[in-house]
Amino acid sequence: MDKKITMAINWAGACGGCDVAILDMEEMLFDIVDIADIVYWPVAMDFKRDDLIAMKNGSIDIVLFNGTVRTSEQEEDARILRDRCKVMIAFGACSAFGGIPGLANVSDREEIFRVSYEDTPSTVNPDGVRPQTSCHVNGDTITLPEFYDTVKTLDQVVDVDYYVPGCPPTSNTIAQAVGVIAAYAKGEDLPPRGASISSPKALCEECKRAATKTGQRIPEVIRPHEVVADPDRCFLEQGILCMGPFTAGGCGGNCINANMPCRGCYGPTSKLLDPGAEALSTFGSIVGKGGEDFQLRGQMKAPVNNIKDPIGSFYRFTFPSALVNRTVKEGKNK
Amino acid sequence: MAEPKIGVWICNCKGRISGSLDTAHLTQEAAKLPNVVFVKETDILCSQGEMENLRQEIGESGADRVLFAGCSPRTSLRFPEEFITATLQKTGVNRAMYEVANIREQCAWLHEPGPETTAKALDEIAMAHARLRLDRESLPDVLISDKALVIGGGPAGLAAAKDLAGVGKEVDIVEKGTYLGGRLCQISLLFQSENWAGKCVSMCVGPVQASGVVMNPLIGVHTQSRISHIEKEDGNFLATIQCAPKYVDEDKCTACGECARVCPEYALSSYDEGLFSRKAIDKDFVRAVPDVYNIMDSFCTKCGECEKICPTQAIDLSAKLSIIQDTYGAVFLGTGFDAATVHNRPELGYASPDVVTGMEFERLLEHGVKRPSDGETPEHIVFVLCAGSRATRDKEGQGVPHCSKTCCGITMKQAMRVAQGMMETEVTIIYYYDIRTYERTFESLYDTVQKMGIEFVKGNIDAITASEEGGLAVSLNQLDDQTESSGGEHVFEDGKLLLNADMIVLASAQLPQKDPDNLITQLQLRTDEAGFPIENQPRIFRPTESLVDRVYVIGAASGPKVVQQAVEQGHAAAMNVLPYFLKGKKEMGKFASRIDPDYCVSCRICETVCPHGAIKFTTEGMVCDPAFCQACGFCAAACPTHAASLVNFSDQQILDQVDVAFKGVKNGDPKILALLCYWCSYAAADMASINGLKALTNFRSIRIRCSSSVNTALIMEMFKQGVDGILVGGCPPQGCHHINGNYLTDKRTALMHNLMEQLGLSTTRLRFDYIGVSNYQLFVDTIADMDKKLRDLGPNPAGRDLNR
Repeated sequence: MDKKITMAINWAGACGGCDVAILDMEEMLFDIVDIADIVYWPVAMDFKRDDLIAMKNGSIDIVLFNGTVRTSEQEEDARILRDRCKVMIAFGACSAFGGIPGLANVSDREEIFRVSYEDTPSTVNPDGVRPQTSCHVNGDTITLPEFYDTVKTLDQVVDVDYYVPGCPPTSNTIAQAVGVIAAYAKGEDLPPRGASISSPKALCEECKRAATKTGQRIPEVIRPHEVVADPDRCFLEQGILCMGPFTAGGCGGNCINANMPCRGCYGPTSKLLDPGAEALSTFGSIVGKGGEDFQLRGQMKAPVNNIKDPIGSFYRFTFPSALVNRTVKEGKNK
Repeated sequence: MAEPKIGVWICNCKGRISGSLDTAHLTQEAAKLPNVVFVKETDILCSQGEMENLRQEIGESGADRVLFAGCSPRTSLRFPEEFITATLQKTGVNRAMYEVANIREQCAWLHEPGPETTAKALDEIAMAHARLRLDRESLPDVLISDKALVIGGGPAGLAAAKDLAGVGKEVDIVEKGTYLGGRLCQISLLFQSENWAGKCVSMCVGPVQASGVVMNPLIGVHTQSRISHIEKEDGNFLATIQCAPKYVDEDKCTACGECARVCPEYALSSYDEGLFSRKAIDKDFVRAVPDVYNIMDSFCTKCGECEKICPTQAIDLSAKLSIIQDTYGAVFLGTGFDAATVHNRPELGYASPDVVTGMEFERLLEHGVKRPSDGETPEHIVFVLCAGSRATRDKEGQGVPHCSKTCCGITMKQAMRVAQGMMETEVTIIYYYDIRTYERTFESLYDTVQKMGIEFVKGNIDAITASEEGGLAVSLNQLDDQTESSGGEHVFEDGKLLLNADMIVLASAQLPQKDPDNLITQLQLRTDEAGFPIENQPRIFRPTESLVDRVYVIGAASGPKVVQQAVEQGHAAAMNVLPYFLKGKKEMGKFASRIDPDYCVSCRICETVCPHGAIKFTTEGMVCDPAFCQACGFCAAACPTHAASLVNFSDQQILDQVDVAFKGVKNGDPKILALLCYWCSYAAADMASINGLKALTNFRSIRIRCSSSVNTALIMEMFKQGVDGILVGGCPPQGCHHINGNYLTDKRTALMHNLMEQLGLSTTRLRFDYIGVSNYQLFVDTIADMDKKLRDLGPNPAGRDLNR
């Protein structure tokens, strides 16, 4: 056996599900420790940030970075890890394209602080104290990381070599990622830099319901909670918004198999300019029963106007990586 | 790929362009653009002399693609794109390898003279240049079979078949019935356009029309046949025809009728609308063509009596059905109309045997009018006009919305024949609001009928029921303030009128014939609400052609009409297909959709939105047949994986144009991009200056294939690139060349507005308008309005780096 490679696993702005997903690999974990020494994994092993800082640049072979970059500390971690490692892997939907925490980009620091520290009914904060990046207590200075206005993806902060999508990545995807790690350990050929450990084609390609597609329009959009879906038919054919056609496959279709439409956690396929606006273009084209010549304008537009919450529906996991990746403010000089 | 070699010709239009902008400067700057090998300013490019020079200059400079800066390729009367394509053919440059910078109608003429106008012209040249660099040669010609498939052997189909065979082309006619001629044969007295009611009889003209077809060796006649499968393949139509077994040998049958005499089984055929019977082996009528006895399979018991009696041994009951498979270059859909459209209207009383449709009454007139229930001569016949039709006003949306236009005239003819031939029979005509006896013949019929003293009652049918005396009772609701019938015999009381009848004739609507073989779906035709296939838009350019290339809808299949008009349509359609048949190929235009199999996941959304039936589902993924593609770009805008794209109208080409579009716009001025549909809105922008209007200089336009050809993600990218406002212009309602591109864009814009509201991006920045060619004032006003609002708003906040 050649010398073992070294690995680090980091948790940034995320729910922790990615770490759990790694633990869920069960005996596959032994495959990893066979080939790699884990030199940094704060959530599971007794390493401190100082240990990381003390490491030499380039001394870690592979970093699995999960979570978004929301604070200055997470950004620092990302930069340190990038310096220390040879291969940086964005692990999970959050670090790859923003994930659920990325939906916070509909808001900003000011609003989040106001709601959290003042507006909620359970908050008692008569002095309006808010987190500060530094404050003086008894002559000492205490610091906190800065909370950014905008949630960022890992690649908006540092260069990323590979993406492992999913919320969280499925065991099958993690197994493929381990394959890449093993290939790296053995000095074998690697996928091209920037590759995603997912299918180059959209989920429909592997969806068992695809054969039921007939190429019909969607007269009315139905939200998943409004109906018990037919377990065999294509969701879109039933009028239920499914992100399958826009989302990279490779997940194994767990949601589809559980009779829930795809929500898009494997991120957009490679050719898409923007994950959500593309979906909007598609649904804008096929929602409504047709025969528009014989409808009033309002009647014609009603079915698309019934599509609720475009950001939440079409950018659920990808908002920070969208072309317009956060809410903006109109007005001169803002 | 070799580097492009671009030649640039800048026309100053003998001062009509150079009077407003600095063409010398343009020439100088154009020379600096990448890949430009030749630049020339010319006085008047469209002249004969300059065209000669152009050929020579292209040859000498080695340019493989050309950029013209001058008048609009859409509205110029001297140098439109048709002219450019034809010119390029002679120069050796591929017909797709050109772009035009419209520096006249949308620049020199539209703006005040000055440096800003020159700056805009320069941007326009840079935009055309950016697009031209990525242009690809047009697709190769597609071979088109010169054999035609005519579905339906009625008068329209026969006319088309005769014309095509007349120029030496093969035709297959597939007729579901037992004879050729269709409804023409059922109507004994035909209308003609002269001032005669009906002096021409179908027993005369029917066989003349049909024999010309049967006798022609180039025409294959298949009666009692159907299309079991038809699909598009490589620009043609691959059809499977299922022909009834040839029980009776055409060569041996002498039509002596011995077989029918001994046949023990009776059958009902569509010829007599099911009112009279024939034998299971029979001819529907004596003058039927082909002149062969035929067996109606569903009634024949194969008892063998006919086989035994036949003096020429023409009958073989063991014959099997046969299958023909062939490739056709055009399809003529002449499947006719369905007249029995009153079944689902209980108030019309059609369940009673003595209530018949107009078509059924035609057959009764032929056989002698007797009441179907008891064979007695009726004493009072009531004709009901608009029976189930024009269901928009008082009929609460039930029934057929359209007017079948022929029924008033036909009813006048039928009433007159009753009045002339049945002296003891009273006639009443119930009409709905008005009598529509259009054109040259019908009004005189109406006039005659009135003079004959036939009673007219205006009213809306409330119910037709069995009367207590054993006949029929008609209950009418009053319309308007007319209170009595024309002769005063019948009077409305409290808005109701009751009259008794022995027999009722319903002038039922003409609807498309039932489609048991799903031809509409198989051919991917679009239909209107009544089910008639929609014609290619605008209808005057490709009459009778459906939205699907080379599928012609003729005769009553395309809407109600009389025999003469059906025949005229058949001839017109044949003429339309001739260019393809004579050349044996279709020349491909500059644009066509292509679906990349590496990204296609067969979600079939492209097929759903394609208005021209050009995309089909295969086991290898979705495939667009370029010979059917009309390059509307719906597929590209709707494709969830970007597998579908338009050749020579790629996303990259559009974005490259946007990238260079606003170099000449002053800092602080809103950057407005107008994405204008190929035919209507772009022409409206041209027409503004042609009509002397002026507009602000800070907009740039891109002529897009259809308002619906641009994916909203591309619009988002344009905002990201810093465009301040985007106007998408589409055809006016009911004017889209691709049926619903304007509506789809309207809908997508609504959805995009919902997203923009969530993003905090003002919806003022994206506007969709229905802008027809004559709405040029609207175009100018819209640009001015957007400019004002965008100035108030300030720069587009999405155009900045947003990662704070």
